[in-house]
Amino acid sequence: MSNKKSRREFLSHAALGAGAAALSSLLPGLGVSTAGATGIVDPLAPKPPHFAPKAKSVIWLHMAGAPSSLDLFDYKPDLIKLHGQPLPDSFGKNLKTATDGGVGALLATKRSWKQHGETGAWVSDWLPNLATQVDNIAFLKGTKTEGSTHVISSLKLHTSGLTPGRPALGAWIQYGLGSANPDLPAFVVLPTGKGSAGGGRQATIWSSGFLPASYQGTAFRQGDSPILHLARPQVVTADEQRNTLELLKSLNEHQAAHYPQDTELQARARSYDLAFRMQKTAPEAVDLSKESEATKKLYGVDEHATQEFGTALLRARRLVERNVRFIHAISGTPEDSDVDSWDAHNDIEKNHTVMTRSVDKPIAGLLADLKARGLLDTTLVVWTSEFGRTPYGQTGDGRDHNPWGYTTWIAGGGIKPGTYGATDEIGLRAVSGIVDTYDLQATLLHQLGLDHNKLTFQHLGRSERATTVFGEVIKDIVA
Amino acid sequence: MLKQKLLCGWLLALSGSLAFATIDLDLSDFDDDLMRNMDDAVKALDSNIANKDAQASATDAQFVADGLKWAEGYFTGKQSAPDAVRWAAQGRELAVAIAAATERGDFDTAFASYRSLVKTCRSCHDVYKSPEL
Repeated sequence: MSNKKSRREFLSHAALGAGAAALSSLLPGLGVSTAGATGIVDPLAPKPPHFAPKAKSVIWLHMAGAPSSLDLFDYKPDLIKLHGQPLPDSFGKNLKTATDGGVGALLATKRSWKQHGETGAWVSDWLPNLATQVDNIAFLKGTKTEGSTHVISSLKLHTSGLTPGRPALGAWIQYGLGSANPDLPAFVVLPTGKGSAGGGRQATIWSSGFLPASYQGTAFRQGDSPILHLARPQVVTADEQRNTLELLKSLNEHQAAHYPQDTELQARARSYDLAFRMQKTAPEAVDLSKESEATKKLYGVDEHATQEFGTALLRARRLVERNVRFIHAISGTPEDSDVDSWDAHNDIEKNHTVMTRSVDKPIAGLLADLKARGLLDTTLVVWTSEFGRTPYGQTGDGRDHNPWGYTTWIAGGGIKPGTYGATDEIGLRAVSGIVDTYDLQATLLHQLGLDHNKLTFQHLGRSERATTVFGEVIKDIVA
Repeated sequence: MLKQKLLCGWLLALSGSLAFATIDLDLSDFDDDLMRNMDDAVKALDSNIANKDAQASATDAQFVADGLKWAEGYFTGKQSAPDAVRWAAQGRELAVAIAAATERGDFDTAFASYRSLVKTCRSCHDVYKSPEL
């Protein structure tokens, strides 16, 4: 008995070495107490979808802080005519509009607008590169959500919950489908810039929540070593590490033979193997040295303003090529900028000039590159934010939070391009084709071959779903 | 069970997500506690239907039906919220249908009605539930 105890202590301590610490989160059941977690032998094993999928991967572009649809995609001539006037009662009826800045006068966009492509989608001059890609995009102009604070609305966008503790969509997808590449995490997070950890929400928006910890997102760092503590320490030679892991493996196999029901031990043994493999596969997956100069230029990797987000999206494409299921790229503020994320309560002209410049070329490059490589058909690219911004002004030159009507878009993955839904004449709230974040999630799951009504997990005696009790597939955009 | 629901309701209330307000209708006398408990019952109902627990499903559905009957009367008294009266009545009928379906073990029908019930709840909340959290 004492022998068994010391062995467990040994394993526990050994887990901190040999790069396995980076993967402790991949172990099932650690720190998790769920009825549904028991019995999952290999949580990352591939699982069949509910029906034939249209898409294999998702690249989730999170514009943390909330851009203004009214200055990017949602052209409102009436708002320009009404500039400087108070919000008409007819638009504000039954809306509790005040958040933290009150309701200022209506604020017209200063952008110039054009319709683009065969679909005739409106895009402002802040996104000239993305405008060339509109024929690949389904614009959901009637998007709405709940809440008017970043924390709550960001949680809802990513986890369908208003409080922390629920799994992110990427975690549900891993739970539903498993991993398609045993050598890489199936849910990767690519934060960029300052305040990029989800606009201050940090890991709660890529959490596995009540699902086993192995499903949580793995945040990749910039640079050659994307996963913290994964690289072999310099003081340990490759032979020493290999010998250590071989010994651990033989001990684990010996013990497992006596306790075949011990799934945690089996999972821990697998995690050592995965960590060892990932020491090679993860750096290679994000190594851009083999990309052509033309490709790097396409993403803006060669320009200061677009270098960081462009690098993240080129990495995202490489991860898609390696069958990573869900890549969560977060747009943060460029390091040398004094603007504060997309959250333009003040001086929206300055804020959005900086923020759009940092993402426009990389996103357009990503869409063009995916299409050229034949990957767009099976990859869902999603532009999201926790909410939009109001047509009425704040502080004279900024806009407040708007959860009632804004634009989300999806490209690729079997989604029909076009413009769906609309906000009212001034862009305050969605009036047609209304889509909630639950519906967005249900639709993405559907394209991946998962029925959001059937993807369930038992937690504390309850059958939980990714979209909680809500969610409808947006049938108009499903090809 | 009811005590558990009340506790869950209060926990949900901590998120502040269920305060009701509109610009031109005074809802200060609305029974927010009841609505919180109904919110919890609706979530539990989803799980109980999925788990094919007939007794628990029927109990939850009846709780929701009773609550919506109260809401129907409340909004009828306000005289200026006919849409809320209509939604409450629709929701009540759906909740009764769910209770009946689960009692006879027809969980597919119960779930279809449940999806409609949730849509009805959202339609009403879009107008009468405050977005201020």
